[in-house]
Amino acid sequence: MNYDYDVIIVGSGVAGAICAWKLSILGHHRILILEAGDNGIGEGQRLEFHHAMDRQGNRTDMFAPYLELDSRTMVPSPEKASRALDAQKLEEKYFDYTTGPGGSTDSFRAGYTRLVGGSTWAWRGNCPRFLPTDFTLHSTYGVGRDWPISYDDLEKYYCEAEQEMGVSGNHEELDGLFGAYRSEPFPMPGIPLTYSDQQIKQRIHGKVINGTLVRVVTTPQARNSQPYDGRPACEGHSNCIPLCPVHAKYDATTHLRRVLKNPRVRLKSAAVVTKVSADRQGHITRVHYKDWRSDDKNKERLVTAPVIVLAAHAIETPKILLMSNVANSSDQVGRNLMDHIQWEIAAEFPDPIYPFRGPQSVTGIEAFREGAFRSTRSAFRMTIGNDGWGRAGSPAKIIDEELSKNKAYGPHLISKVAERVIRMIRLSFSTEMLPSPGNRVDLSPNVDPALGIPRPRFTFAPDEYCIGGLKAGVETAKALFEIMNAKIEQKELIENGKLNWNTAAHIMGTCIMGSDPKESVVDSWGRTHDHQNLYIVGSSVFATAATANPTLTLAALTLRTARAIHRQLQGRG
Amino acid sequence: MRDDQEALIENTRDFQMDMRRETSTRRDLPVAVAAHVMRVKGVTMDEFKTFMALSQALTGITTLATIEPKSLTETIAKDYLHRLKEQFGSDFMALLTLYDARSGTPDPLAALLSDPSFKDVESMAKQIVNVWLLSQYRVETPTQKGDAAPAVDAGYFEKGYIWPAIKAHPIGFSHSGHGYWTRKP
Repeated sequence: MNYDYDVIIVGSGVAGAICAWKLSILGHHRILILEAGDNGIGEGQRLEFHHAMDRQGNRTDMFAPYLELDSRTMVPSPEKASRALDAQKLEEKYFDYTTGPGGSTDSFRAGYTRLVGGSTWAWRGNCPRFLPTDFTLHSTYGVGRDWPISYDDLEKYYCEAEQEMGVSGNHEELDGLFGAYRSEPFPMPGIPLTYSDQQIKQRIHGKVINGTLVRVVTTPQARNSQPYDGRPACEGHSNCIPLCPVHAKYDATTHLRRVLKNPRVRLKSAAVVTKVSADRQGHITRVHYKDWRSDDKNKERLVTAPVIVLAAHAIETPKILLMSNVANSSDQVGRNLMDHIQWEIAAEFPDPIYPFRGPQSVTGIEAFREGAFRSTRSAFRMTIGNDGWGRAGSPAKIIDEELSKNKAYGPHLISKVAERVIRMIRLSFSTEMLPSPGNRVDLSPNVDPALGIPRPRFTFAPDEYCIGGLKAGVETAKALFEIMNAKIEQKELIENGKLNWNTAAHIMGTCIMGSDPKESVVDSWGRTHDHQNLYIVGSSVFATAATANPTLTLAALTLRTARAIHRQLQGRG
Repeated sequence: MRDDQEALIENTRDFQMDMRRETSTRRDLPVAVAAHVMRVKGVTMDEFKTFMALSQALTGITTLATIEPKSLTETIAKDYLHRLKEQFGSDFMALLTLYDARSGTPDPLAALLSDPSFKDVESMAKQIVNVWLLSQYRVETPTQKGDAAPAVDAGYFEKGYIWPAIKAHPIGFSHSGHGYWTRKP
């Protein structure tokens, strides 16, 4: 049979880009990458994004640099439309929610971008690994699920992913962390600690909280601590989210730029996949898409390949499967939706520590990611902020307060504001939800008018497991601030019966990995149980959320899946 | 011809034109003269001076009231005034007028803050602070009011006064090298 390509990859974010690149290295495969968004991947585009961000009133919002793209109206993404980010505010939000009994009791609010290069344009860049027990949560603690692979299976791919993305870190700080051994060093030493980190570390490193030894550790991060891969070392613009001005922070354009030099690889942007379908042999080899830059944006176009890879992140990927009505004999597609439910405590340090200098976060505390308590409540990973009060506040908020509460207009205004801002610190903690079929994304009856494609609809609530973790995080943060003699700016975790929480925008679980086809969507290689030539890469395959940012783990899984795809293509001759 | 002679001729022509215009509508010569003087001096000029004096009073930035002509700060200041007038119109002018009326007093800021009508114009005072410190101002929407209103960029983010005050750089614009953040500023 004559196919248009050997592999079609849907999505050009970090999973799709790494998958394409690895396949292009392993063999002479003809690869088409389809991407719903439409933007450049060169440094000129980066500059344009920077300028667009400069024009926004809320520059630190993850969408701020990307608001002037045409793709914004053609392929909407879940901007926080409750804030008028600019004059072209979209009236309708993209996410819908179920209502009524059994309906959504909280708003799933994780954002993602639909760009060439995906959400890594805007991510923070943190790259901790999963722990060994994160893969065996059920057999170890009796909750959640087990992955069909172990930390041992993935370890060498973790090393490769760290090389590929350029992860900086200190080997001796992390080797053997709760059993997570490292067989290779980091490609770069860890990012130097900020002055603020040093002051905090001085006060809390080596202290014991509830029997746990606290160590302040440099977060492994895809941020250059020296020139690497043709990209400069971090210059400390403190702009990580939403855009690194100099590409010291890894984003998927790194792999796209590499792979697109290969004449066998093509990227078609402005291409929104509406469904995948079976050929006459019953194999899923047909990808249907709409090209919104063409003269007929609603015409369905077809392209074929013997292997299809979905890499459209954890909302759009299950949405495509649901629209196609494939790969779902388990009825798990779109289910087991998870996010890292986070909260943060802000405080005033007793002495000036000068935030907003250097990366937004350099250090963290790993010590609370593991323990017997995981049988009853979530673990959490802590990060130490270098961005003042993070989402809890900002210099603008301090100015508002001084004016509204204290009418501090006059010759001492700036020094009063500055005195407070230079002491702002925050401790954030990120908890783990359990995979639950009731938390899900499915197809909304509401169709987006631009291209006539159903919007996603959510049924979601943070579970008691992660709420337990949040409560423990609050207590731990308070205890640490007490040791530092810092004055806490308290905002209650639960106000009027309602849980306060922030999203980490780590979307996971919606095409869950497992060995049992009745309970999972993909096998240990990322291949859908139902269709031997349909693969999924990205955080949608995660069987547990754990307490690590998902990108490094999904990159490692993608490298492993690419090998499986290559073997399969070779087998075809 | 020397500049001052040209200016004198220009001014005389203006004066004549104004006199013709004003006296054709009003029979009152002193009013006409006063209107001419206002126009030549420029109501804009008064506005700018008042805006700068008010800006200095509210923010405590001591270099605003006596600004260097043709400096970058003057350009930025005029742009800020223009934007705030465009956005807020008469609400903004009400604050300027209120302050101007007190500029003769020994402590104009205190007089402004204690005035019973200050609360009507206080949100404008906040926006003046916001433009100088952060180069942004807040514009209310039907659902977002006061301090919760979304911020709008005022065009000169790198020139915000907050950044040097906290010994940092405007977010996204670091001119220091790798590792500068390890040292106390």
